Amino acid sequence: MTRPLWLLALLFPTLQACKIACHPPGHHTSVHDTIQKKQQSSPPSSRLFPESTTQINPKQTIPVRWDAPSRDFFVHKRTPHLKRYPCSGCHDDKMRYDSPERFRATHGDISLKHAPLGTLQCQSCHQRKKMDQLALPAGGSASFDHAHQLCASCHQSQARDWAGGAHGKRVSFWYGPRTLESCTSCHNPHQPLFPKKWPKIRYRPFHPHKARSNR
Amino acid sequence: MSRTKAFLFGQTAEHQPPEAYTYPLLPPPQSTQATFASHSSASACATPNSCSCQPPKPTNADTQHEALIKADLQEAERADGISRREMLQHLLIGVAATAAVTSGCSENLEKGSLNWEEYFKKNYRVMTAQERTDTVQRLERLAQMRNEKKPSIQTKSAIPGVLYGYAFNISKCKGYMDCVEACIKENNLDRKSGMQYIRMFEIEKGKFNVNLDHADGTYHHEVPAAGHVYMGTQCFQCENPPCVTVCPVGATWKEDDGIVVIDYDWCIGCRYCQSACPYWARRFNWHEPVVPDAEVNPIQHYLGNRKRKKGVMEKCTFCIQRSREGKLPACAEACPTGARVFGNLLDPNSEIRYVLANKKVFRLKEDLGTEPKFWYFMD
Ligand code: SF4
Ligand code: SF4
Repeated sequence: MTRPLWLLALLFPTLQACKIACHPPGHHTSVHDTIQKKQQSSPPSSRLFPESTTQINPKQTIPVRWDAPSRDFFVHKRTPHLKRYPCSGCHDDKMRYDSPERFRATHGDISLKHAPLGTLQCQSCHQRKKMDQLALPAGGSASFDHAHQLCASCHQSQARDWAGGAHGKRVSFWYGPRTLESCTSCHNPHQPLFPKKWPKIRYRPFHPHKARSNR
Repeated sequence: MSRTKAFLFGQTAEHQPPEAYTYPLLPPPQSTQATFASHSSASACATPNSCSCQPPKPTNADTQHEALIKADLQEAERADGISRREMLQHLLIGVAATAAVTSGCSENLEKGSLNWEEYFKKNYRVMTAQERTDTVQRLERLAQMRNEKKPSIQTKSAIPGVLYGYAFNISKCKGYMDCVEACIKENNLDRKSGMQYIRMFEIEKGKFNVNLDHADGTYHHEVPAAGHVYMGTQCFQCENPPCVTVCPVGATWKEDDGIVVIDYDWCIGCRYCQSACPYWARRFNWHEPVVPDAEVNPIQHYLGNRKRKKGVMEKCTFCIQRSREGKLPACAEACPTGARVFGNLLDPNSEIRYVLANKKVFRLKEDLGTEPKFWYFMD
């Protein structure tokens, strides 16, 4: 009864020593090397998952051609989420500004804090005549679903990062047809700066410089 | 023996015929009483008193809180003891092969035998596909017997051609902590101790260093505060994980897709890995995790968010139950600012590769050579 336990007690450090001898703690692999090695041995398959499980409902997205066909992607549609869209429901002919009272009653929730005061007006971005479209500064129009075309005309570097993947975010999946959140899904175009608010939760205080261990 | 060696040398199940494997530490049936007794006494030592992070002078509220936790721990222990004793009784019945079992205790008998098989199952890495299915079925059945929400536990393996990587945009994060909340819910984290895998830090601009010496992990005010940046840490799924090297029993390892995982049923709770991790990423269960049944996320992975026990280690797994299904981790999906970028490092067209190629990135404590697969960058 006691013998096997004794044996094990002796065996354990020995096996540990073997383990350390074969996998010395200093044995170092860089992520870069791993990527190189794995990319050669098993190149990423284009069909890791069935497409149906990783695709956003196509009715909610529209395709975007950025710089090359190989980098095509989709954006989340915005028009279903807009409160007062289509604008032509009220503005049957063109944009007008009658009185502050009327503006407050219809668009009172909008206060424009975008760019230095006085730089932008309603018509800087909204078409005066075809109200269901956005106005591009270079002339021409863009649909509300393609708001990024308008945003990109000033914020080029952000737009480049958005199309590349360093700005904004994908919708739900890291895999599958690349579907991005539209600019205006995250930013309120009238006040693009993120608001101040309280953190979602109050959490466990942690002092990294004091922590010997952690919980 | 070759199986044992293979296991200790860190090979995976594919390399050896699983039938030949017998677990060498399996105690003969006579010694079960002793094993159980020592097991429960070992966990009895693990009260939070021995934790080095206790504040030196507890306030009144702290003492009360501690007392509450202690009471709870004792209660849990008592409950544990009873169920083990019950189990043993049933086992003895089983061993003696007394056929006369009344129908009333058949459920207890089943529970006993399920617990017995659970107690002596193998390390996840050397289980055959069948054994994995079996243990999942046992775990699901046991949850059902405890009248808990029935989990659906996956055992999906790493997908070939995938290596997960994460990037965090320091100039975008506003410290809102939506990610922390999403993580707690997704991963069934203990609500009683307020466990969280993600830590958010507020750092005064210009005071950043890789040891986070001037980082404030205690902030609670309206964010973002002027002149401050925010950054989060979690498990970085290191390519050379020191936590794996130190584990004396092989309960934690790096999967082929780069995720460092823990077999909660193999972990002995020695906490070596916790002190080995330079990024404060591992969490220890001082007591049985408490999650209100209505809030339990039933979609679980064996190596991920399934129910943990008292006395085992846990940590972020890049939401293994989600990422292996092609989904973003819960934190990346919840982030309202787009500061979190997640993807496949082996896919040259992925977002994460764009960040690595086009942004100035850095990692925490790079000189340690742990090679985290988690980068920070700025616009
Ligand atoms: S961050 Fe810590 S726990 Fe995660 S893999 Fe690295 S050493 Fe291990
Ligand atoms: S606490 Fe568990 S996972 Fe960590 S080193 Fe000890 S046995 Fe291994």
